[in-house]
Amino acid sequence: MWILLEYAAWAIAALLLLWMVMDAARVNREFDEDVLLSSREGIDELLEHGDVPEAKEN
Amino acid sequence: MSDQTANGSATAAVEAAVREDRVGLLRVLGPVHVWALGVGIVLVGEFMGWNFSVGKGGAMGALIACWVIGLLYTCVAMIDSEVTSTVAAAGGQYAQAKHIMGPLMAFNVGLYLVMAYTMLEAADALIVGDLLVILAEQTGYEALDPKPFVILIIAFLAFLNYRGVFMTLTLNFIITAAAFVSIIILFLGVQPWQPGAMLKHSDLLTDLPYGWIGVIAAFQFGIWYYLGIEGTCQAAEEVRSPSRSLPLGTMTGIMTLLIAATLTWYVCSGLLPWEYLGQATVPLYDAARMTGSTTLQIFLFVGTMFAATASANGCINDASRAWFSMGRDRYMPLWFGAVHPRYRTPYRSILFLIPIAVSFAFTGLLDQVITFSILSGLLGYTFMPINMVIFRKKWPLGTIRRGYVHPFHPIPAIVLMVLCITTFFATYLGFGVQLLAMMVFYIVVSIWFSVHRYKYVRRSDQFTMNWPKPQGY
Amino acid sequence: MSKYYEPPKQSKLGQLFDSAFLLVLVYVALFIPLILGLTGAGSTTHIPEEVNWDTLGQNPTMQAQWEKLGYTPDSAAEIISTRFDYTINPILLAITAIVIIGYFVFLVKVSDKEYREVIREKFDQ
Repeated sequence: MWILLEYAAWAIAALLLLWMVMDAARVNREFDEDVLLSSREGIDELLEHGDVPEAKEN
Repeated sequence: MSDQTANGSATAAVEAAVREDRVGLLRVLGPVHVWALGVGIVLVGEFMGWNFSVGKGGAMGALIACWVIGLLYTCVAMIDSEVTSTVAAAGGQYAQAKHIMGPLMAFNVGLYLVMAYTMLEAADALIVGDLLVILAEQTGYEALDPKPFVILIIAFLAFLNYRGVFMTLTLNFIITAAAFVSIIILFLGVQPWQPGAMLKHSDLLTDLPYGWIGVIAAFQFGIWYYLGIEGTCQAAEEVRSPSRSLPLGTMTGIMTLLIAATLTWYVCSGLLPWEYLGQATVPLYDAARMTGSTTLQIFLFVGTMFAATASANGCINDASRAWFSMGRDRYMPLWFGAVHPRYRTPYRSILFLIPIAVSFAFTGLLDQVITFSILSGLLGYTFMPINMVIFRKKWPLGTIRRGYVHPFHPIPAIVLMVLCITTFFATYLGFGVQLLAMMVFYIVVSIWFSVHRYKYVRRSDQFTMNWPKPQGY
Repeated sequence: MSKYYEPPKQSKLGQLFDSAFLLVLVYVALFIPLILGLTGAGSTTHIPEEVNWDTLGQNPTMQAQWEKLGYTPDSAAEIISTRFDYTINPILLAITAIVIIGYFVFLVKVSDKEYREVIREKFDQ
């Protein structure tokens, strides 16, 4: 049983890693590099929302 | 902070971002997640690692270390809460250093964070592997190879982190709470109200085997009880109201840990001879074994498993945030500063750190890796009091809006500094060469940053807070 | 315009090289103590000539717990008798102290110099 689990672990790990790499590659193709790198330190957002997001829209 | 509000605001934030054509990290977390991130990373330290302090100074020495280092971390939490509730950006202490002390310091702090967390993550994954080997042996299979499981746990947690921070930290909350409960159950299970029945402190506790120098030496591993609680600040850019949630999550986190640390010490020192405890791999699980109760053993097995998983999970979260922020500012290659347009996570940093964590786990350098991790953490704590003093000097109270103001300044900063120096000395006792090797590493990369990397950095982007000019500039 | 510093764009290859360079440094730092054969804490082991629970200084309760853990006096002897060596080498201690303090002084000084540039660009428009 443990041997099966070992193989299963290898397989699932490989699958997860593969998915992430594929997804990352897809995102790199589909989106412009400038969009991906467009995040700024989240200060502006903090000020806009007046720092009380609890009362935010739902 | 129900799931619904969080999901609701998550969707709203996605829509807003799409409109603005700009992707940033997602603000979806509440104080519970901050607690889960902080405590989650650390709690594994109660299941393993802290007990090396018993080896360095005896059981009583370890208790003293536990409390003194607890004081150190209370100072850390106080200082951190003030600074981070004011400088709320991903990268936590890294962003603080950038705004308060300058680029080179920030680069170093960022590296402390990445190194400390990635190395801790490797150690956590190895524990999961070791536990499975123990389980396999107990069910009659002697030759289990832990490698696939170590890789699986890292891959799975990276996958979670990749897919979104809300789910990641919600899971962390559940497994961290479960692990904490397992410690409490063990404590109740050993009948602490009947000393002598199961707990045999009066016979097992000895005098300080090394005298007082051993107590100081024990500080080094006393850090394990709390190492990583300051990681709460990494979530700053993803928390809904950072100035409230971060101090709240951090402070409740340190209280949880103080309780857990004391209970852990009490149970273990009452069941295990100190010489054994000082070198055990999984002391709490051993303590459960000594009670002879299968139920407790199962609880502690699961608890240890959960704690290690939660820790690795939080480490991936924190290390990738720090690496991401450094990329975004071009301290490290800009390529890492990307955010996933759909999941809104620093996906390239998460991916990049997977093979590194795996390699740390499999080089057979675990001792080195753990020492390096602790020391990087310690360097980070040494930075904090310097940072705090400068922060209050450049922007005295009242000049900017602070989310939280810690009392008794500068006493916490001074206490923290003294304790850091003592802990450096403790590390020197026995681990002097590693200490020097690591210092050489940080000196070399600092020079590398100054002469090479810094030329790619856009100067005015290094200060994003809406503050007045600092005093004296 | 000359007042503002416009950083060069780094090529993909350069970015890759820098990441790799940092990683190599990390591994070097991890391996140095190993190569010098100086890992782990210095310790000494004095196993008594006649090994039993009494000569190892274990009282009846301790004995019971050791046995419950599955140890015999022989297998526990090394664990019990190993002690860290806390002798202080003043020269090494001084070197360590100077290196750490020097490092922080260097950090604070250089950071402050860079910080002044940042503040100047940010506020002196």
